[in-house]
Amino acid sequence: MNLNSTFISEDNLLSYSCEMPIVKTNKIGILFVHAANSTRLGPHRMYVEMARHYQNMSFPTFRFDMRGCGDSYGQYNEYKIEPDITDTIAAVHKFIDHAKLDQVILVGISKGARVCYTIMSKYQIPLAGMILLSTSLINNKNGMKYSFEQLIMYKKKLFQLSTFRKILSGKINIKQICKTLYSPIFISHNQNTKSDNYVYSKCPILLIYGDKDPIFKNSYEYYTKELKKNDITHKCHIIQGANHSFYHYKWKEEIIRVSDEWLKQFNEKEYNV
Amino acid sequence: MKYLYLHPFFDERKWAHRFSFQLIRAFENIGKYIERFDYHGTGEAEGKFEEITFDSLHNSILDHLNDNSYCLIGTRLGATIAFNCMNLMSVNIKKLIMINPVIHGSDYINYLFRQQHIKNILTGDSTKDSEVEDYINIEGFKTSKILIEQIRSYSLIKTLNSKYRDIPVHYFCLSANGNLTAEEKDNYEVLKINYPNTNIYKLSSQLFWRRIPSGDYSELINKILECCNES
Repeated sequence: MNLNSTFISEDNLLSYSCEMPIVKTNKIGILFVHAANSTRLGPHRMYVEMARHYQNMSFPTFRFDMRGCGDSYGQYNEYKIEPDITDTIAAVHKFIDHAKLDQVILVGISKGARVCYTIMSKYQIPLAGMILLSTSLINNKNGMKYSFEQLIMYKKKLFQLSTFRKILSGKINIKQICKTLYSPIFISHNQNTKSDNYVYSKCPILLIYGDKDPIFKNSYEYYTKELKKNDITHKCHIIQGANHSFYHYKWKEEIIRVSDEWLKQFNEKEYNV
Repeated sequence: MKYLYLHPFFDERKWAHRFSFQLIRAFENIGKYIERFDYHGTGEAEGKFEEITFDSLHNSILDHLNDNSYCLIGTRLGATIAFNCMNLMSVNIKKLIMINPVIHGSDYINYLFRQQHIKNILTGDSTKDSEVEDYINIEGFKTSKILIEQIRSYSLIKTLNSKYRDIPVHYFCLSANGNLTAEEKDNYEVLKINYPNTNIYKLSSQLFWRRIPSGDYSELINKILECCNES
């Protein structure tokens, strides 16, 4: 049974899709948290495909649009993480209530993964586990570094013929260029990742990164260290050649394969496919 | 009359989503309902993207239409598919609103390949599509070579059908500077000859299907509402 409806988070009406398995229903559900400026479909419809797959494994699934994204009302703030956390916690409660669940597994990508990680660290939520894709470490140093890299890229582009043509024809989007340069600094200032000495909702975690993702090395080192420090069971899978949003269907298929295997620990009996 | 909105494809669908949300709200405000259509294998619809062909896209819509009169509103490839449905198959389509339709499939495919190429460069181009496989990776979507070739060989100008020449066609051309390109002027002339009730609208606007997360599309939406209110 599939349901498309809405729920309230603060003053905003948020849109969601909840899909229940047909035959057998697990008491653990899987909730998807999308990235900045994305929708509940996920990048290249990845969340829909993952949700349908997990549904066949007997997991109820829940995908929702953050405020100001997709079909949800409100204003999205890409520089802040707190509204996303509020929306996700409201979604967890809605999902548990609707599907009569004991626990949830969170699946997040990019900013959505950081939202999940922060919720685990700072809130008491009935979490069974988390699948975190491209979880980034945000700090001032990385923000400055990324802005500087963008600046270098623009400098290289400046001396290309096509750029010269764009300048002459007035097609250069100055506003977008400025935003690209200052966004990493703004984001790192507002969403600085802080080390946790106490984690409220410890649960097993599957970390997935692409080794061609610029944030991979620093972020992987930081999060694996943090998880070890806090004695959290975790597994890490690196997808060779993959980028931040896993822009190849083969990488998407690999994510589904790996997560499928990892999720079996939450399914006591053989699932129906 | 029923209103059906047809999404664009690939990454354009993601970026254009917020526009479709605003369009629905604007219709609601004047007591009208517009349905957004997910083709088989896209959005929330059942099926896999790799199963899509040009024919399956048209069939998805035609299976969905009933005996009512319809106004189809489409963006990019969605507009092109709406145009084809009007021309080739259905007598129930009474009005067409196209936002920057794909006119030449080969240009569109080249654009998609360029976008994918940029992504490949950024990742060191480590995963190449095999010549022997039946699918190509386009922005993370497993895309059948059949669909690619069907789109590549498509030309909107070649599918004109005078049988439906009385249908009003509203052709929106959005661009950063609000001017029509020479190609858009030519397309308009051809459309006007074959469909005398064609109107063209040039608007200075962000191309909301290209990495624009959200914006104010009220000018475009108000124009669309005007077109819908015309008898």
